[in-house]
Amino acid sequence: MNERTVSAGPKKNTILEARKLTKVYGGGKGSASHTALDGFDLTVREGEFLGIMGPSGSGKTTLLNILATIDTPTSGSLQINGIDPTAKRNDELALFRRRELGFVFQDFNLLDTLSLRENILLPLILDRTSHVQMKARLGAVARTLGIEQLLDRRPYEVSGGQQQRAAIARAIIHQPSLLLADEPTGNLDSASAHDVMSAFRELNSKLDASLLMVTHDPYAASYCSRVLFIRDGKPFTELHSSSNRQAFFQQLLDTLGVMGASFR
Amino acid sequence: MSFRQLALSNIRGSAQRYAAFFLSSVFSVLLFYMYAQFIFHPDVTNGYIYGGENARVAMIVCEFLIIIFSFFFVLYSSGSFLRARHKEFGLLSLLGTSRRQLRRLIWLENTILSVAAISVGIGLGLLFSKLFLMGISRVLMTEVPIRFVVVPEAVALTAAGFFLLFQVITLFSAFSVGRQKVIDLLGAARKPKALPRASPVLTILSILLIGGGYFIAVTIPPVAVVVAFFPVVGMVVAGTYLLFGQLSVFVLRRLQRRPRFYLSGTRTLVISRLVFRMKDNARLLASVATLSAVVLSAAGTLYIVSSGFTRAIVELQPQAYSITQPVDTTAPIPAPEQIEEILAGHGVTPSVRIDVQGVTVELLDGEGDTTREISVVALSESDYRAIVARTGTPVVGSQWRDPAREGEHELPSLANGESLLISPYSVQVTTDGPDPSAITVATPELANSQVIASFDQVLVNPTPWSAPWLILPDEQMDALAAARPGDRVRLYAVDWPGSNRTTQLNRELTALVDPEAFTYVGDRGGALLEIRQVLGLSMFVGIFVSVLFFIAAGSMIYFKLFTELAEDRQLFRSLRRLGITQAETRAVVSGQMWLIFFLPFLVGAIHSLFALNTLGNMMGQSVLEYSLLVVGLFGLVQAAFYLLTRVTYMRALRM
Repeated sequence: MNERTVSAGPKKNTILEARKLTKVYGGGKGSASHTALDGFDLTVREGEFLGIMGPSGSGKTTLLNILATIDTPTSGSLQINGIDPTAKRNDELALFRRRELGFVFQDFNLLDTLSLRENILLPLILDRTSHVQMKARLGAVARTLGIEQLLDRRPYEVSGGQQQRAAIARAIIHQPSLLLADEPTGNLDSASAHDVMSAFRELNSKLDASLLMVTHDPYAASYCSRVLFIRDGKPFTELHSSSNRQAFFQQLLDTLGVMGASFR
Repeated sequence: MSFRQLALSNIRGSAQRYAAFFLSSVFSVLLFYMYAQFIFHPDVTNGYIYGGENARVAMIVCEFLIIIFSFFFVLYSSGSFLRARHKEFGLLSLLGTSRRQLRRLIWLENTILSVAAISVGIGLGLLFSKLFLMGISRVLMTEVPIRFVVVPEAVALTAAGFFLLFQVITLFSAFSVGRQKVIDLLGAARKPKALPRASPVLTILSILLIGGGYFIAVTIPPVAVVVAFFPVVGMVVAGTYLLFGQLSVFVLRRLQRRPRFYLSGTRTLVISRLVFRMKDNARLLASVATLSAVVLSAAGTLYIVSSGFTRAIVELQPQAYSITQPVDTTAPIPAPEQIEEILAGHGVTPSVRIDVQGVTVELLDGEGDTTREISVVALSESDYRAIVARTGTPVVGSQWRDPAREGEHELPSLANGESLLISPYSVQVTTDGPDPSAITVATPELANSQVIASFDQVLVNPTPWSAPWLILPDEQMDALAAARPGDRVRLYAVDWPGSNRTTQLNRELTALVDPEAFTYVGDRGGALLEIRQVLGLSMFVGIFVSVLFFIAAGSMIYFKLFTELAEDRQLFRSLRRLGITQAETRAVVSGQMWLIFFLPFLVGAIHSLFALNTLGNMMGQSVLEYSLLVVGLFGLVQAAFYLLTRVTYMRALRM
């Protein structure tokens, strides 16, 4: 979706490539160590919509934090859009996140003091993008997500689903290489959850956006094109979506049954 | 875990939030103790310290100021502490803590905190009191520093006074929390606030009130200041409240409507957050601004008034040291010979020496019921000419009996029956000197004498016998002295280079004075010394109180900021994920903190500049330089507080 990756031929480029990611907590003097991620391999291709599911304590939050470059792996390599973020310093990382990544959170994280318009524009404002460009991108994104009428409202004046769609707009307005979502439906009722997931799917199919979503909700995961199950810091299994979302949802439920772990 | 342990761990947990309040309380106690120690110091109460009584009175006034101020400061602070903890109290109630227990918890926490503040304050007071006594000794120019003793009365008064103060406020606030409902306590935490709006009417009113106040302050004639003082202060204070609550919001909202300015970099975050913070903290900020204005004006006034006095002394007393005494005093104290001896002992050669004889005579000013009798000293024309030739003091203004000669400053040669009035005070006061046509000479020997003119001129140091001087032709003067030998006075005055500086020489001269003796001493060095002492004392005592005010004001702002810290931490955590750099975070925090710290100070400073300008007009003196000096000094204190708070805040934010 941006000029660096458009040149790909029929075979899609790799957006994210993680090799043998390992994260060990503790293990200092006398304290017990805990391996949250254990040699995890992961590849996300351009235009892919990948879901990651796993029970509490499976390492999915650790994985997401490392991919989001706010945590560093103990060992292993990571490449996002051909760049190795682990080699970067703090402020460079901040700029890297701002330009290459987009984030959607469970609790939206919209700023109460800003209108939805200002919230969505925030990544561009911080980068001092020209006003002409801001206007054009905002128009396109708001149209896609169906929130054009709400731009002058404040976060607490609109519904949860609308807030999350504004948050998605903020996450994609700077046209990142990869969109990361952390339980995006966790705080939403089922109607809003449907809205938000449809929006994701639309971004994925129409704009060819690459998405990686961590969730424990099989309904949300059923919108993905591929779902990776994680347990004890290692990949457990992987499912590919068929054309029928209902059937895929059933498959996901079956797999969760097989994993047998209690979900939070 | 016992209740006491819970209270202790609560205090430890919120140490950072209480830090500024604690320090301000410690500083109040410290200051109160140091003053009390001086007030009850045995050497001071026994009157061993020269000027000690003045200092004592000044400090007693300050003690009252400190207590009153501390009361309101602690009351305000405890109120905001408890409000910030409503959710916590709600939770405790939900878990089954009874009201009684909750009150006890609050009482216990505050009591621990206050006992700690009192102990640390008195401890530091003991530690610093040696230094304080040395400072005050220097200001009072005592020969040896006031000795350091632990004064039990001071310790007792400070400990008891502040304990009582804290207890009263604690019991009051503990009671107020016990009365609220659990649901209210829990719900108090976070309701999203509506976007603040500014009323255009109130915004304009704010500008009108402040601008009007300033306009009156600048244009008012000096005589009307007393009448206009309270209305103008009232206008400006009201305007200041509106400035923070309305005008600031209005301006920020206007800025938000200019996307090219507003939507660029970190400005968006700074401005959008300020809109809320300004409105929320309007009352606090306005109070801080008013407090700053009061402190700055008081400090400036002190400085300006005392420098005015210094100028008056130097202008009115052209010689460093003078004595006036009846000629037939058998044992003159001090005798001119003693003075010469001291001067010679210091190797000083007088630049001016005047030693003349005059005679006291009576004048009548006015006619009928309003007639005033004035006692003056008559001098001979040749003595007058000699004095003027040596001192070179100019004639500033003149009034003539003959209107044709109006405006002439030339000394006429006096004919028999003519006399001249020299009036020093009218040099300083803007009103004209005495009108010669209204003056008649009452002394019978001078019945034929007529005052032909009065000159505004400083001749010699004034004496109780001679507000003005009367100049007579030489022959008439000789005749008068022969006729009234008992009324002869000797006037002796000396000046030497560098006489304005206070030295050991001045001390020795001042020591000559015997208050019982029938001699009038004009001691410029001594007068300047006294002024310097009073100024030094007021500065020394006042500066601490002003600093206390500033620290307390700063700590209120500090607390406000740290109450919002939890919210900010959440905000910056999500912003960090979105990719905000450390430099941008600092820019957002600084931008907002800078305004909250310095806007009230700047507003207060401008208020005080206008107030001091009016004072300067009243005193016929330009005061801009002094005012800027005072404002600059306090600006430095404020800047230090700002930098300290910013560092602490940034560190807390990163956690």
